[in-house]
Amino acid sequence: MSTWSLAWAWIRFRPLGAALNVALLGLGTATIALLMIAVQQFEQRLAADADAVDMVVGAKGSPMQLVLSTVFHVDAPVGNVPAEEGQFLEQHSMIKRAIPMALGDGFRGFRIVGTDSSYLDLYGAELAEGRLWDAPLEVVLGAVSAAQTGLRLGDRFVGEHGLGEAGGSVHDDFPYDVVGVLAPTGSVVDRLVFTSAATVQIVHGMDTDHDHVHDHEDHADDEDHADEDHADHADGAELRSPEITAFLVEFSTPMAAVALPREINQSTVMQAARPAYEIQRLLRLIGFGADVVRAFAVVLVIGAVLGLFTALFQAHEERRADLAVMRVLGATQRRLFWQIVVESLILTVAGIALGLVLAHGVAWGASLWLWEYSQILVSFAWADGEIVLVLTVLGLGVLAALPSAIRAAGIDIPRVLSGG
Amino acid sequence: MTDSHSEVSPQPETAPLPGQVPAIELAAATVGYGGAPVLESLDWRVERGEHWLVIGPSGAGKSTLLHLLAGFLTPASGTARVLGMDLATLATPARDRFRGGNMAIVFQRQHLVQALNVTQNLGLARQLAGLDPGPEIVRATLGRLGVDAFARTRPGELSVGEAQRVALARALVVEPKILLADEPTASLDDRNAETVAELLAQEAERLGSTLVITTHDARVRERFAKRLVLGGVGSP
Repeated sequence: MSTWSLAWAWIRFRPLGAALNVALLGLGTATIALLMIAVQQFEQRLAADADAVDMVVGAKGSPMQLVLSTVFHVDAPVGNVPAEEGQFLEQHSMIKRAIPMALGDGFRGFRIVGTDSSYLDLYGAELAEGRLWDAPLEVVLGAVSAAQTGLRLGDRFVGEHGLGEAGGSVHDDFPYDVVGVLAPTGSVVDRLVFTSAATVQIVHGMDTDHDHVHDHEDHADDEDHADEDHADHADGAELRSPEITAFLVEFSTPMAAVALPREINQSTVMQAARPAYEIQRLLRLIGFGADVVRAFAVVLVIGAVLGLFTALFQAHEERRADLAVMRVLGATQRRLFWQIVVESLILTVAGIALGLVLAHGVAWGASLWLWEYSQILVSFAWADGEIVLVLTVLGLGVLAALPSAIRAAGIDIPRVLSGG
Repeated sequence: MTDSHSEVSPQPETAPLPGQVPAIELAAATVGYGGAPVLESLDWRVERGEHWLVIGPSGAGKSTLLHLLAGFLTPASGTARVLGMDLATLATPARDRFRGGNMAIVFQRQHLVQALNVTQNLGLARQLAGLDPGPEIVRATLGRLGVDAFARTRPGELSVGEAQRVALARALVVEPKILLADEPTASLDDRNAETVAELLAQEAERLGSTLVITTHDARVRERFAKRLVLGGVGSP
């Protein structure tokens, strides 16, 4: 009868109490582990979307809003800048490429992005079917945009101001043609609708004036909506002063990270924002919320450890005669000390295992759900801090056993066996 | 000095083997629990294989004497040697191991580990005594004491008499050189008291163990010839 088997026998002798201890520890551990997995996933996804872009250049205003609206597409654009400002960027020696991006409209919650095909190269996006946009008013759908809207190759739709969720003014006169669908990338590309920057400029040139006077009203009910007609739209837009929402910049040299933002901010009508920096700022802001949840989880774990301490202490009081008899039979004080610690270790390890299974099970379920509904790849793999969590809870479990273990080691054999 | 004396009925003596150290040898041993001594200047010698009864009224120090012999207590003065070993010279862990490897104790209350079944209780005793699990010895011991039917039974499901026989089996399964029994029959009815007393004597005899029983149970007295009377001459 080893220390482990006796500890296991004692645990099985009070199954309900032991199960409660394990469940409480498991819940606390699961909450913290799940939080770690979620935060890590969130940070990794933010980083994956932002890593492709060294710098965003757009209208002056909030740099975070500029990044959120142009890199993550979760905020309204700051404003537009004249398209010719792009020449400054294109000619700059520290810039490898500057990808133009024109925003303003959406369709059923999915943003329409006017850009060129190099944007797709940033995220390694590839066509699943069809071809890339070429003529004005041709669009290519991201994987999630296509799945959620139900649009297919050859379908036609009209965009709305903003993200096009509800209530926005509809550009009835400028229906888009779906010419391609992208394969899933697990990045922000999946949730966008792509067209040329010229298309956005055409549509918004008309919308800004609010008179809807253009050469193509007759196309609204035109079943064919031929390419020649789209070309007419583009021609019309050229008459106006085109604007761009932002440029996504890739540096040609690391030195640009230091010098270029200041140069742009001081010498142009644009502002430069670094996605990596803005993400850190964002994470610091939302970090408070995560800290609150984490604190709650820590309270759960501490409560569970206190429960374990109480259970062990009570069990020890009930087993004083057992422990005294073990000493009579030849057990040393050290053996009794470890006997209690091992019992706590078994319960703690079971609690940790339950917690990790719960956390990763929920993460696994969430990953399936998210993939089904949004094609977002969520990993339920280990988070970086989980090993620290495991060791901490294990340490707390041992700590909870110490008072009982010390009492067990110092048990007064004659007094206990004589019923004192 | 403790008011004590030894009585030996006219029965065949157990002659000590030449050169063999006695099982128990107390020389002017004074022992207590921190206050006034319970036993004072006690001299007592028990040869190996002898069976002794320690009798006396409550508070006379019968249990204290067993605690001294088991090494739970050390003498404040004098010496207490068990199997030639002065237990006071051993550190606590060594004393624990010495006790586990050489002695077994049967209590008035059985003190079986409730979470373990009967076989596991005996297995635990062997493990703590530093012996191999010895499943055959465990089975044989349970069989000799007539409790083999309860091998998989938990102590809580046994009657008092059955539990006391299991407790006796736990003591015997380690084949102790010295078997101490503290009021082993006090909580038993006549039939069980008779059975347990008989088994104690038989098994100690079979194993060649030295047997020391403390009791004030008149049902047991006549079975043992050698007596140490504590706390009152002739009036235990």
